[in-house]
Amino acid sequence: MPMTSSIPTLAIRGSTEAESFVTEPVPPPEIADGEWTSFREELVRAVRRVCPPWLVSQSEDFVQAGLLRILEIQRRHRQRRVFSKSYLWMVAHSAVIDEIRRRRRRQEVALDEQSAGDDPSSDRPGPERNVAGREVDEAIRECLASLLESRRTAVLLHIHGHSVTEIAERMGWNLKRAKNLVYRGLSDLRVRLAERGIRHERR
Amino acid sequence: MNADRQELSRYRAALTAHSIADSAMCPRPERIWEAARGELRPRQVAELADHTLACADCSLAWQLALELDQKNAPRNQLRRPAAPLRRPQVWGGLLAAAAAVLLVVAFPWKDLGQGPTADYRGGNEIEVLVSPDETLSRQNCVLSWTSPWPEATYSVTVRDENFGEITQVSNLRTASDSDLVEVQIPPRDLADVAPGTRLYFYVEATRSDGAVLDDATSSLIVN
Repeated sequence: MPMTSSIPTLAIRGSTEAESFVTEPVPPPEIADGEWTSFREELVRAVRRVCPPWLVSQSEDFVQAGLLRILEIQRRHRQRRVFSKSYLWMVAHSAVIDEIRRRRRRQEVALDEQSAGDDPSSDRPGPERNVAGREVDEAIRECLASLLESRRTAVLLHIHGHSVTEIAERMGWNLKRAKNLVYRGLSDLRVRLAERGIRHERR
Repeated sequence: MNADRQELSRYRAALTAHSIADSAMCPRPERIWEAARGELRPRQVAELADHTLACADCSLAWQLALELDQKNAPRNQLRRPAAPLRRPQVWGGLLAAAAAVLLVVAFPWKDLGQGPTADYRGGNEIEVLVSPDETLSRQNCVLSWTSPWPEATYSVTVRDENFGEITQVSNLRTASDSDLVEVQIPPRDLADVAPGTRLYFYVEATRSDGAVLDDATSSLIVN
């Protein structure tokens, strides 16, 4: 399903070829054709950036799910209201996540038996590396969970990609406190991982 | 911060690799979207962040929301303040509040009964937490929404596709210490609704001063 620069024909792949269907898109009225294309491209880029390696190959399907949901809502409510762009982004986000959740549930069992090629933390193949990668994943999660609550929240938000300023805004902290909590939380995390023999080596 | 990109990336990979949480406990993606955009209370943000510790999909949802928000989505106009007021500023804040009260008393509020305009994603709105495609069981048809007016009373009206009234529930209030309102539509009210029927509902909030705020009509499918 190639990405095109013009307004695309949406094709959603089902689990079998027989389930495939195509629908002609009608961009939401408040988004011009060019904007719709860039909307789509931004969604593609964002999904690819955050998808773990084992999901990247399906990222186009997730994008299609998001776009289709927007078109469906727009069609259904055509006579009723004009949606804001931020609402459309939220709709696309929800549809992508719904689709990821659905596929994750379907694939989780199979993934457990796959080799390290699909392990996001792996840089070389082999089942031993896969097991080791998962053990490190678990250790990171457990060490994060053991942090003091405010430090844990600060570090989690930072890991998800928030700046210190954003963390301060979301948590109602002043900047200095947010910075301090992220700093101390990360320090605690490194110490606890080191106690388990896990060290991050800078390259 | 002393955390390089590679280190954060490794932590991120750990959070998005495998889920250990029960997916039935996952919040709706919209809730995570709001958390990432700073539209929830700190306590709610912290709870959702904790959930991502055990849930790969919700971690992904958070990171995707942030990607989309930073690149594309216009910011909500009503954001939480960056920091609580420092002590010397508190008195200034109190004085400003007192001045505001005087202004309100001196100049009667216009269009009191109309209430603020409800922009769908603005900060002063009722936000329904049921997605338009959502299918709910008639035995557990729970409608929920958040509101900028936690002290208000709410009513929800449910109609069928011909706009015939199915039910109306009134005198609802937010849960304590929350801006969330939930109501279960009594199964008996849905007894005559055929499975797969789309229903429409809207919420109306009434403040003690008489101001009214309503949301856009939402829909759901009942099975």
